[in-house]
Amino acid sequence: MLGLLWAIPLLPFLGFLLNGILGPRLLPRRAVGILASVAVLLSFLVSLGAIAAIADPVALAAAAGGSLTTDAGHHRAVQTLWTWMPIGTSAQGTVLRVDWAYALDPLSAVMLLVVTGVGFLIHVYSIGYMAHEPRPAYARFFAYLNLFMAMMLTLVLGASLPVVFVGWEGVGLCSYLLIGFYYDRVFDETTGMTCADAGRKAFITNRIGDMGFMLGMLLLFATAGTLDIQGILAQAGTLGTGVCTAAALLLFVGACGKSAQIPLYVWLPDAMAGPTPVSALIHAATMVTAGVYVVCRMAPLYQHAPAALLTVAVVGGATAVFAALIGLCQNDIKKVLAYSTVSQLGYMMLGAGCGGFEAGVFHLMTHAFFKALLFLGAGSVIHAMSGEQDIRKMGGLDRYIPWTHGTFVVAWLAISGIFPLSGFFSKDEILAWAFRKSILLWGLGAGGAFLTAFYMSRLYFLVFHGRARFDKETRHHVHESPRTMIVPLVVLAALAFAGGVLGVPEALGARNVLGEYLAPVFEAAPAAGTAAPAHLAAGLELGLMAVSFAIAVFGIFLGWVFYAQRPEIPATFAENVGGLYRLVAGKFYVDEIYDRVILAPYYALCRAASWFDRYVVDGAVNAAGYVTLGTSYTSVGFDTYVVDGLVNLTGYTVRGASWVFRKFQTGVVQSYATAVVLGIFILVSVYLLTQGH
Amino acid sequence: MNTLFEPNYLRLISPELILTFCAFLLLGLATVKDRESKAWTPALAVLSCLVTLMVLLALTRHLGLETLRVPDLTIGFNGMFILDAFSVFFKMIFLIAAILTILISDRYLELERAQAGEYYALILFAVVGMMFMASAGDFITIFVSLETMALSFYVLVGFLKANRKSNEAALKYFLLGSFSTGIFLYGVSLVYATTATTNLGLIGASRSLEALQPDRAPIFLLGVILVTVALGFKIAAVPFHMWVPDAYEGAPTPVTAFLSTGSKAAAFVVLVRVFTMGFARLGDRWAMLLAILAVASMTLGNVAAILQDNVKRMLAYSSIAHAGYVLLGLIAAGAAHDVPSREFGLEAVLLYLLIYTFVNIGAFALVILLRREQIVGDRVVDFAGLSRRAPWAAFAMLFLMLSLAGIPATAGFVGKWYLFGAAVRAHVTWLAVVAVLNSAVSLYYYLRIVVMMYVREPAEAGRIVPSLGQRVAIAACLGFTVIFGIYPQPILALAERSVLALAPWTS
Repeated sequence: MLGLLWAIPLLPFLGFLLNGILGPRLLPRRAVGILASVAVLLSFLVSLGAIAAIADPVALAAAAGGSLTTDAGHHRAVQTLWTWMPIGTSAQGTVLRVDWAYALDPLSAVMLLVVTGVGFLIHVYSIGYMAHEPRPAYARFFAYLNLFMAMMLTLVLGASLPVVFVGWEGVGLCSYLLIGFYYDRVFDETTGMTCADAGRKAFITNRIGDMGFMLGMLLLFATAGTLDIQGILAQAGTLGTGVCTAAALLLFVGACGKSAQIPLYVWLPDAMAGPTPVSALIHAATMVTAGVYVVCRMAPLYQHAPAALLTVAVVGGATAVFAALIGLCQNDIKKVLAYSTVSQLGYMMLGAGCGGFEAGVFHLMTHAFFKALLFLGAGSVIHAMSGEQDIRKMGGLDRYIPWTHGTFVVAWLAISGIFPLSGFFSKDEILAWAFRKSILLWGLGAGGAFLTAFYMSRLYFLVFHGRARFDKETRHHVHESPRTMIVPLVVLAALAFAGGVLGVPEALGARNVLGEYLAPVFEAAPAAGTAAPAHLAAGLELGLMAVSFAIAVFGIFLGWVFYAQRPEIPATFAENVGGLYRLVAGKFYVDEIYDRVILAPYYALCRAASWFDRYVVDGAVNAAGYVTLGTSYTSVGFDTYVVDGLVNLTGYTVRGASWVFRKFQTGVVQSYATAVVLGIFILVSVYLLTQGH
Repeated sequence: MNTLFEPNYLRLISPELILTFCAFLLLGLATVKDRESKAWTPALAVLSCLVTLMVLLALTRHLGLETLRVPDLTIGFNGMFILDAFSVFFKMIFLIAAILTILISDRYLELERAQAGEYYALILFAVVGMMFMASAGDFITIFVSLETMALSFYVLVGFLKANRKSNEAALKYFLLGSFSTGIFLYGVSLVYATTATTNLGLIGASRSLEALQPDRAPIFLLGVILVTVALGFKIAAVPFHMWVPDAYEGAPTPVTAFLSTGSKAAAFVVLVRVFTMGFARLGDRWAMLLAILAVASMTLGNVAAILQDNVKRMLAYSSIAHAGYVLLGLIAAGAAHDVPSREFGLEAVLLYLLIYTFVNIGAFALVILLRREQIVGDRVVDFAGLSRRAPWAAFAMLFLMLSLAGIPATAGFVGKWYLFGAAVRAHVTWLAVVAVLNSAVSLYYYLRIVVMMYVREPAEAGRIVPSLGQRVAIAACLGFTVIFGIYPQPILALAERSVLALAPWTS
């Protein structure tokens, strides 16, 4: 199956082409959904086969040949398809080039399974969820979804940074197209933001991050002389701390954009404008984890840049708490989950930043399970509520939609960190790494964990318990979702429940299967001097576990008291600390600050440039003496030409000519010419000035 | 070397001769009143370009691309004309640009009621000028061929006689063009005054060193600056760009497409030839001058494009920005200290101009598609809902916009990557950083078009059906962008081999 590595991204891409070209008019509705899902399923199966093939070192070594190169010791296989861009020869005479190559190693294996596995379930779910859409939109939706899968798999499998970047930009584009899927719908009533605006916001914010990625890539190319990821990582030790830190930070800027970290997280909550399966797939389970993936992928580079690693940890920890705080006061079911995603991504970054890359990946995986489940559950709730998303207008839904309710409970407990669900183990591992690094980082993580348990309980109790707060009309329509939506929920619930088995800490007497599997990826290059922090004593580790469990239980208890037992408390609370409440409910006004501080001056700059181009030269004419000299010189020269031009012109169009003449008399063309003279002046003076040295 | 004329020289310029002949033929046909024959003029024009292209390729094949690197064999007319692989590459660009332009012109001229044989003849004359520019090895040849091209364009820009904007654009372009010609000649005269020759090869070989003696250096360098300014005007670099938005907006759209690709590429070929051949020894100095122009062009072009509501104006500013990007490659060629890095810079220039030709003509083809009876179709809002009215065309535009913005897996990314990489290799990394920042900004205004096409409701219903020529042109541009974005090997190899022709002077 290793030889079929190329097929993993290609299969969904074929699905995209077929659905995109034939779907809207020719294919029957059922075929569209099935085609899209089967393409992803096949990709999943091929991935399984390929991953099995890299597990056995002996067989792997034997598989090399043709387009495949293997590294049995690191369980890595690279398939080079063609040379994408030759860059020339290096100073040492070796040929530098960027290949279109796919690499499979334990890290990309985990990502592959998450992306194709969860992706497949969400495709199946979408068949039911999007059933009410007209056929062209239905086909368009699945085509975009498949294109997204193809791009995400390219990102995960890319063996060199430019190939990863293709996927990176590709998923951004798909995300943008899917957020704007209901392009004409107004999404945020207070600002009048449409879904299309939300899509654009996502794309532009991401672009800021991409700039960092691109600059990081250029820096690595300039210093390491290669763009092949393994080639770069092998040299990480020789690049010097300064270069490593700069490159790592630049790549982290990119990761901040994609993985919605402070300060670039603002796009993710608005991305909820897309259809719910999109939120589950792209904005919870897969695309947004790409930033975490890249940081982990470049782990040896980060290990040579302690300052960058610390930045990752601090930004991650801060994001985890900050986003959770905002999540406390949101009333849109999807927005609560969106801020929760931001917060959980912060967790992953915190783990990676503390050196626990495998902990970050572990949480990435469990989060994909339970957050996809939460979003799909939310989708099922919205479906049942005929499109209502405000949790204040829900309540008591447990009786109406039992399957959704049951699976939602699993996800809620998993994300809150209740033993023995998956979220407990992954969160605990991150907290353990944070504790090893610094008690302060641990404090951030623990605070985030408490807030998470609290706001998730708030969500759960407001939606499923208490008095039904919706009207008769809605009550009449409340119904459980079709089977295509329920089955994925159940499968995901099983994964969210048991996914933690892969990473049970050794302190509990089990093997950390995932940690061992990923270990070869994260070991630093041999030259690395940084020793791994000492293992925590078993007793301390058990103690930390007990603390985080207690925090989760306390959070849930508080949520239960506030929102199930004594619903009047939150209102009084909000009244007593009105200012603080408004600040949090207003999302700390970050969007507004960005508007005032960044966008407003930026638009002013645009206007200024436009204005400058049109008028400033005229002003310069009047202002500066030397320019006047130039003007008089040029206008003398021009008068001769003007006469000729006008004579010729009047021959066939007097009206046009007179208009042009009038235009000319206002001095516009002169000022254009003056700009040229000004340019000469600048170039000469620059030359004279630099010559002086 | 002293023979003024050898029959053998005629062989070198045979493609140009054929094209000139065809152009006169078309001009003659234009005087015939017969409607039937007029319908055939675009086809004839395309055919002329194809025949010329074939003759050019046959000649290249006959002489051998390897041979085209040996200076002695390919220089004719006492060094005034050079047929090397480098010039062949650009001649191909010009001919392809002309073919694409003619393909997208037919329907447009019909709608503007300006269908006329002399239009196509003028385009061919412009191409003749450009082809001679690519081969010019002497300031005099450069001047004559540059003017041949420019005069054709002055008329083409003002071709819509009844349209005020077109007239205004032509007059402005003509006035400022003449001004820049004057500056060019002044610069050349200063260079001649200090080197006693107008031959680029001679200047580069030894005379430029003599001219750098303290007593002559200021005059010589002023000449260099003035030549830079005049060529900067033609490539639309800031601050010599003022004519561009007006001329691009006012000119008939196919002419704008041709002006922004063919004419720009022609100016670049002269720029490259003059700087790498004639002024090669002053690499460091002119690299600094060009860096100022590059930064100003990229920044002003991108920032000013953001607020434009007219697509042609937006593309005009975008074209200013792109001139800035391309300058990066030339700067790298001047600033780098080793031969491979210099060649890499030039390779990036060639590559980018080829890619840009396809992408930009494609983008203008889409603007032309929107031109219908009573509707000018050049505002950004005119693109609203295009994905529903012409799905394939909208898809093409999506790809072309992404390519202009430099998103990976499009040809535009490959081109930008090479330009930025060239700057990094030549140790002018700061320029690459400025360029990356700028290309991030640029995405905003390209995306506006995409948003319009895919997100907004169409203002009017009804599908838009492209003409055959438009279909072929758009498909060619899209195909080029997609295929060479994923598998750029062939064009990379071509650019690499073409640059080697300059090797004697780049080393």
